[in-house]
Amino acid sequence: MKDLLNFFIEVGKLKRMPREGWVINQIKKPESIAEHIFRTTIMVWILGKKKGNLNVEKLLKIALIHDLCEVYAGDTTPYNGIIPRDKKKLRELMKTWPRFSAADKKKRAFEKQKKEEIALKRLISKLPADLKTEIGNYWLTYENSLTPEGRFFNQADRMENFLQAYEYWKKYKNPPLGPWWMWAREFFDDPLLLEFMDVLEKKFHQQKIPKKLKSSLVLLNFLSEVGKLKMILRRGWILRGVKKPESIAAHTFRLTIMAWVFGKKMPDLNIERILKLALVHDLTKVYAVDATPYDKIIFRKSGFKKIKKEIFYRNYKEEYVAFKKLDAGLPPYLKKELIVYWNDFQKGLTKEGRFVRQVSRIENLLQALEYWKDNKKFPIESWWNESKQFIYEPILSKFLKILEKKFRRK
Amino acid sequence: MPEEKKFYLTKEGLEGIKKECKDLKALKLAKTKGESPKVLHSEDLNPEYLAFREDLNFLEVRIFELENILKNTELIKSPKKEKQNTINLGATILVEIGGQNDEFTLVGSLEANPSMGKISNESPVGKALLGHKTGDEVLISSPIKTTYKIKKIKYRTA
Repeated sequence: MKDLLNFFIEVGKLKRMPREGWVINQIKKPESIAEHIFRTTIMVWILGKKKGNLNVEKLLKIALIHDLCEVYAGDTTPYNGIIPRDKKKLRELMKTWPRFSAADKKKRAFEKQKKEEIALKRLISKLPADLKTEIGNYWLTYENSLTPEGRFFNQADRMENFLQAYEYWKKYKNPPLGPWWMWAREFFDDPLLLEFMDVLEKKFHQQKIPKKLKSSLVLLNFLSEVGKLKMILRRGWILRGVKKPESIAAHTFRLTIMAWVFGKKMPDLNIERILKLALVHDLTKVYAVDATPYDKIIFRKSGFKKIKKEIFYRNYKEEYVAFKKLDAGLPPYLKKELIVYWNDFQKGLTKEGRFVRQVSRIENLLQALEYWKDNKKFPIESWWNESKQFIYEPILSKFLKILEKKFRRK
Repeated sequence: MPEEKKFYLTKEGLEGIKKECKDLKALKLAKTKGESPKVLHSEDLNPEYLAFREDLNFLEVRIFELENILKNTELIKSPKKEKQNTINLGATILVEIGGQNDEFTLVGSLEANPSMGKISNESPVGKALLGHKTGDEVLISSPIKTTYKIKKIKYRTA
């Protein structure tokens, strides 16, 4: 349990690590590695289902672990080793796609993989053997494209990157698109992702989108909306004066990892369901306000008295409307799946739903403790009390005790 | 589920897959017998084998995958000498792009790895280059214009 806690703390660092490719492109407030992982995981779920013949649970797991090694290895870009110090020269370099000799390409790829392998081994070294093997194997599956899921993910991961590049370009007219296209046209070959690339081009360059591409356009629009969660900061932390608080996307990332890890210890729970529940639980926050337990106090101050149950239903209704707005246009099979998982999380309808709700409280508490560790004025006691009231699953209660020990609660 | 498509493989790629399949089957057999497999004592040990040793399910999934590939493989052969000036699968191409030189080999989807200089014949650039000759300039224009000047084409000798 102590080793699991340390793993979650280390993995949580990805919430604050900006993606290097955006840093060298001088993008303001770039996404973090955790935020990239979040949308990539949603993307492979959605596109993996559309593609068919792929195991979605495997895709989700590969997505969740594919960049964990960057906690120690850092984020490597194709420009590594050739970055000039001068900002003007850097801007010029960013307009080109770096080309290397065949020998250099092999050397760079080998060095990157070696560095990341060492980092991953270090990160997972103290995890239980079954989990360590599972994470290690999914990483190899992705890195070496060992299975259809590994091959598809390898490209889908980069498609998330490409979509993000276009979203920044739309907002800042940066990064330059030339190198992205040079790379993309040499890189992608999966038919579904090539179609997605076609839609991406047409949407962002305001070209007419043919009827046959409309279904991919719907998915692209959905993923663009979901991507806003990278920028939406959690209100609970803002209200408590946390500087640079995490986003909804970053919270969802660590929650999903934690739910998977704890879920492995619960043989009667369905892991794929757990992962999906965690991934959808906050999607409504694209449009709905991120509710906090303090809302009733805030509302009471302005003369708005409501009992707890009523507030739950008000929030639920608001979020339901937000969900309907978000999933509008999605194919029925997907719409149904998303709403079923979201509803399950909100109301705790199944054992998986109730379990993920509790893990979500644990992730919140861990994040609160991390903020408290940085600033002792952070009101941590209410978090402890709330968690104690809410968590009843024995394995999670045991983890609470480990948290108490680690953070030396009086 | 297996992918029901043809896998175009270079000779080198096919040999690699055959060897991996043979090694993993030996590993599986030894594992069922509780022995320490010979393949793990080899000097050029593939690090994946250690992972497979730990996880029988992962090992079986990979063997299934390799067998499916081998069942649906088509070997990429070098064209006759008179046709070696044309880009086809298996060609290593020296190109000039925006004043920079680059070199890559055109391979099937399974072996593609652009960061290692292997580009898929099903990628937009791969498709555009197929059938072109030394000296040709291939323009890919949507939405950013890029010209690939073909400087040299070579094939591995059999």
